[in-house]
Amino acid sequence: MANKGKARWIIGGVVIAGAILGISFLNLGDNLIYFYTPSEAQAKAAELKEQTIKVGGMVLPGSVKWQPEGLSLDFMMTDLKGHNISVHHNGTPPDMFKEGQGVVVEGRISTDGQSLAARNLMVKHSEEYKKPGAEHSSMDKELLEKSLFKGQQSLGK
Amino acid sequence: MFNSEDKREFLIGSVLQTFIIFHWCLAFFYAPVDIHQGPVYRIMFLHVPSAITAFASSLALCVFSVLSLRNRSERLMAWSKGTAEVGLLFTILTLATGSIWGRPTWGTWWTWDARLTTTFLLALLYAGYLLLYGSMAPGPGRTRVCAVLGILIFADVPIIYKSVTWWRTLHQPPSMIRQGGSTMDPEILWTLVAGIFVMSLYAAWLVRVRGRNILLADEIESASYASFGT
Repeated sequence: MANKGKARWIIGGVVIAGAILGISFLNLGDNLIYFYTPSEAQAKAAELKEQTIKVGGMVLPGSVKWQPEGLSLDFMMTDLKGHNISVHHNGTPPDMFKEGQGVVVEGRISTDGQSLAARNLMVKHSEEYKKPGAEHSSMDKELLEKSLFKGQQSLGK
Repeated sequence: MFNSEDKREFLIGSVLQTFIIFHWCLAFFYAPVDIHQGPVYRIMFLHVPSAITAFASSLALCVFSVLSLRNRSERLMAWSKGTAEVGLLFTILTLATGSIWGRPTWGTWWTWDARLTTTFLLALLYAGYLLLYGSMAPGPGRTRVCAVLGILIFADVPIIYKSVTWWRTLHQPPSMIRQGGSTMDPEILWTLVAGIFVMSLYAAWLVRVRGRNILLADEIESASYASFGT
């Protein structure tokens, strides 16, 4: 009887541990990809153009054109490796939107994968918190790049 | 009037409230402004301690559940229920402060990324636990069913914690505990650590008060049934 009870505990523990491990190893396919990187979106543009998708990247410095009169925003989203998508958004960008910032854009991509009509524009910032006056470092950008383009090699091909 | 136990709880509560006021002073006056986000980042001093307290509640619920399965104790079930209530409270606080923080920084109140979704799931699990607990009569049956759910809820916590590392999310990765050290300036980091300490203490006290009140309510209830029986 005591043995039976113990065996149940062990089986229960193994099942729970297995479930946790299973979830961690299973990437659950495309369902858990919250956003595509620019290169992934471009590679799949032909099949994705029918859907509303999210694409994440960085705002290419020097590419932002903001017209407050018409609430019209144009910029280039880049993965810093030569894959650029031109984004058009009708609306005021979030406060933290700026050149070199991370963005996740929800919208529809053109067939050639070169442009994205945004429906929703979100900022993705880094996990760095710094007081003013400290030396400017490239840490913020590096952290952002790592977080934005994680898992790209394995998923992109 | 107040008995000595009430007085003691009032005193502990007042001391903890003072700690909270002290921490808010740190958060507003000691911690410097963040160069990337400006003053709005200060909501982090409420958001992160709430989240960690919600995780800690889940661990406590798991421990109480294992113990109540072993001992079949109704006392431990009352503690479990109190812990689940506090866990739900702090999970909701995490979601609310996160949402308020997300609007100005991310540009959205809510998005279904892995971190937000798994945290939402934690709130549902806590609420489900309380519904289940409330729907069953006290006894070994309730102990068994609730304890199993109480243990399973904890499985969500490592998933929430690792979600920002495993998957692409809008939510930023961890700043405190990470390879290569913290990405926060020391004043910001220590204010946050103080907040986690204060909020965990406060939550532990809330669990204590709730656990005792639930036991008291159970006692009154069974006494009322006993008087019906005669």
